[in-house]
Amino acid sequence: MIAIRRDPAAAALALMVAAAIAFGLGYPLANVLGQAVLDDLGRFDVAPIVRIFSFPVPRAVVVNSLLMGVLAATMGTLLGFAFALTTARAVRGPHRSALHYIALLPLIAPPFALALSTIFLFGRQGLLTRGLFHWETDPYGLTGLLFVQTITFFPVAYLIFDALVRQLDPALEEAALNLGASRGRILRTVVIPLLRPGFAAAFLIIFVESLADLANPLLIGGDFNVLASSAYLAIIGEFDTRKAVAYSVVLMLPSLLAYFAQRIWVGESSVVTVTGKPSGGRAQRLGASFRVGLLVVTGTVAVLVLLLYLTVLAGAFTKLLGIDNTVTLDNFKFVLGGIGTRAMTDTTFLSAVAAPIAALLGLATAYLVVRTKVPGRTVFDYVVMLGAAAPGIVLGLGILLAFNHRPFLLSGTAVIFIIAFVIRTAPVSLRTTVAALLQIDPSLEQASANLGAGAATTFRRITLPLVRRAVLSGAIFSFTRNMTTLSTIALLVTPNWRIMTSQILNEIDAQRLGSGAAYSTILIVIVLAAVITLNRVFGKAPIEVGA
Amino acid sequence: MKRAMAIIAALGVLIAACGGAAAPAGAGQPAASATTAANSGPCGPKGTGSLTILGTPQEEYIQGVAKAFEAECGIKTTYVRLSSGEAVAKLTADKANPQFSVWWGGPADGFIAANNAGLLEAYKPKLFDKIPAQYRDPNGVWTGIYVGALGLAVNTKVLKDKNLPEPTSWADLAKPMYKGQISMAHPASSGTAYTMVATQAFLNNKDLEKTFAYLKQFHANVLQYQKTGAAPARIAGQGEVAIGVVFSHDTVAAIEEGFKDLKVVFPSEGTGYEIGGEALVKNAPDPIAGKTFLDWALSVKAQELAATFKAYQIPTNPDAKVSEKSVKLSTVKTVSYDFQWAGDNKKAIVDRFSNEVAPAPK
Repeated sequence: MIAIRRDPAAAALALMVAAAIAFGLGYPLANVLGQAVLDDLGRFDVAPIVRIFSFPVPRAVVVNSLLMGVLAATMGTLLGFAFALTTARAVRGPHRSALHYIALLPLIAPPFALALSTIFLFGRQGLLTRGLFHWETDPYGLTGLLFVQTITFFPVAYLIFDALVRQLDPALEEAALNLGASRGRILRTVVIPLLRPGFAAAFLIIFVESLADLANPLLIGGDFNVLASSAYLAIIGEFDTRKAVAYSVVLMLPSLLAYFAQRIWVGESSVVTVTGKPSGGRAQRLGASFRVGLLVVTGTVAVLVLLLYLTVLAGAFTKLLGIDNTVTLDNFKFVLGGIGTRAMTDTTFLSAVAAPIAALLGLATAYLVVRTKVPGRTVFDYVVMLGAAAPGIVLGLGILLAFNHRPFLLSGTAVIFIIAFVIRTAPVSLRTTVAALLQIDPSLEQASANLGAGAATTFRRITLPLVRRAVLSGAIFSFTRNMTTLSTIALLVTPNWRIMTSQILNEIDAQRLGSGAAYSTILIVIVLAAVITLNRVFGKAPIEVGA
Repeated sequence: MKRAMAIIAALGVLIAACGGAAAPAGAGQPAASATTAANSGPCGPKGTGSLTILGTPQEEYIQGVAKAFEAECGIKTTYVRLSSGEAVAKLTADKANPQFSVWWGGPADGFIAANNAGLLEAYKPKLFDKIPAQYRDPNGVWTGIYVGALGLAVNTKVLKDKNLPEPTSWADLAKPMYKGQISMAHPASSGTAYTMVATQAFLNNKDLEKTFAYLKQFHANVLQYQKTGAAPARIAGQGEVAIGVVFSHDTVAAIEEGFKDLKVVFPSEGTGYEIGGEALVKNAPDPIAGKTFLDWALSVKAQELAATFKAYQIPTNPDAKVSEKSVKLSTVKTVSYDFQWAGDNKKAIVDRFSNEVAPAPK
């Protein structure tokens, strides 16, 4: 640790990360968030924030948002953990792979697709609820919203836990077993405490992301108004940027609190499981009844996920699903005949360029935060997290305002999209990598340093291979979210670069659900292909240390 | 890992290349020259020969118009589609470095808001005087390109299932029997929904107390306020609700897309209508090509294009043929719609709606 800290390479890294964060993140965010406390003439004025708390309507919006955030984060985290435990311990072979990919599928959530499918399956005229069971359901409101949010966000928790559960040292569990602990007790007292950084990371990310999410509350939230949709309406409908920014700042406060809460909760307690020392034994199988319970939960959710995606697919290949079910290829012809092809290549290119940058920024920041004592490192950590906490439309506005004049004249170029994508997705990469780094015994790196390797060599030869899976997860997540984000890029649109999600919005607006579904299907296929390729190329090599 | 690094390095080079390639496109446009030859055809001077349109109608229509203009006038034309509210937000954010020369389509109150924010440049297109006076701004800030009446998208099948009578008036929509059966967009995000709210104000002689008393009763029947104005046609079409409040041309388009249980009903008290506007953006990257486009868009030929792209609004140029699928305004009872009043009072009314109506318990 000491050797790394004194190494000039660490200082250089810190400077580079600081510069990148300040330019790409701090500058645009400050540009727009400053408006919460400064009026048009630059005078200090917090009236817009005060107004939110002085009236019952905006106060209710704050309470609603917190309620939704906490519930979605709790359900999503638990579900993600259940899936990780299932794929690591309860199923094997092809079932494992199938469940793994189904759990990751909702990461690829083109805007509107899941909410529209939910309405189609479970709405008032729902195919399942009304058609099969003759139930009069009403998903509009908190229930429907939580359902869609949980399905949309649990894969993030799964991504985090998947990397962590597999790196647990089986020897610890074996030791507990030898001491007479039951399987349930081992899970409670050994496994879960060791996964604390994972729980913290997953809860924080889902809390923050579900608060910032726009499309789901707009489509299925009913009268349940939340901060993100209120901020959006303030900009789009009332042209009142300061009001929107005030909502955003209020939106970020709970995120900030959640951030500090998770830091305190994870604390200094050691969760190291990757020690490099030879470890005996195999991962413990789960108790039979527990395993069955787990399989029922994850199996049910997996079926739901598949149904939702099959609905999108069915929508793409029919004239107007539910009303005219004639099978047709017209939707694809329409999409590929228009600007769909350009939107596909443009969006894929921009997303692919931004993904490794987001992953590397997350890795560099995580390394600084966990492994060095560079002053101000927690500030980096929090500023990067803000990128996920701001409502997309406000973030997009900030980026546009920051980069539409000299010397940073970037509007209309690819760079502005890449900056937006990186800001938005680096936080997840950061959290997954922080959680993974905390699992690794620093003595591994110390040993390398003692043997004469510099920080850079140690990082490349020891640290990087050990966190590779987490970095890969970050890159996959980034690519996927870049392909599916709408509110962040809504105001960045330019004829030079066509973005698939805004084309989907245009189709839905023009009542062409079929073409919207066709776009969504193409998008899902592109992302699936990319994820499978990335996993094949980078994911399979064995992790040498401790094996 | 080497492979990964190589890929990342290659991507880095690509970004640099893109940044470099895109920069001159934005920066290289010469200042507008004042010397423009008088031109008598439908196509005026070309300016820099390229034009970027910010469009608000449905995309197929904008795309078709952009292509037709490019083909006829030889000006390379690109476009971006944004909803009316997003368009104003985008123009505001772009103010320091405007990306678009013209804003084409979308309800007039958006243009009034944009003008109040200093985002538009007055320009009277060649056919300005040909357009009826009620369909344009007297100073040429914006000129109407189409008109469309507000109506109800009624799902006859759902009404039958629920044993509900067909609504025929705004008053009907406030009756408790339609509880949870109405869909409308939020007037903050949708010009359509704002047109409905303003229509109620005009029916009540601009008495806001009476207007909001009605809206509160109406609110009790609304399932959920949508983001975009045309969405209720889809929601009613899918049978999630019985009634959508939308522009009649959007309902006609939805029926064409296959929502066959829908029909258009006009409230008996009289309904509101929208004027779709067009305007020149202030400090436009190419005001000359922009003006040429604004002139061209009012021509009979350009206006008759609309129906071929399933845009069934009524053209404002009286010489243009009205599609058989369009609802003729003369056959519909309309309120006397004061666009300036609606535009000037929008912020206050929307604010009040957001605070008093939308969050009220049902």
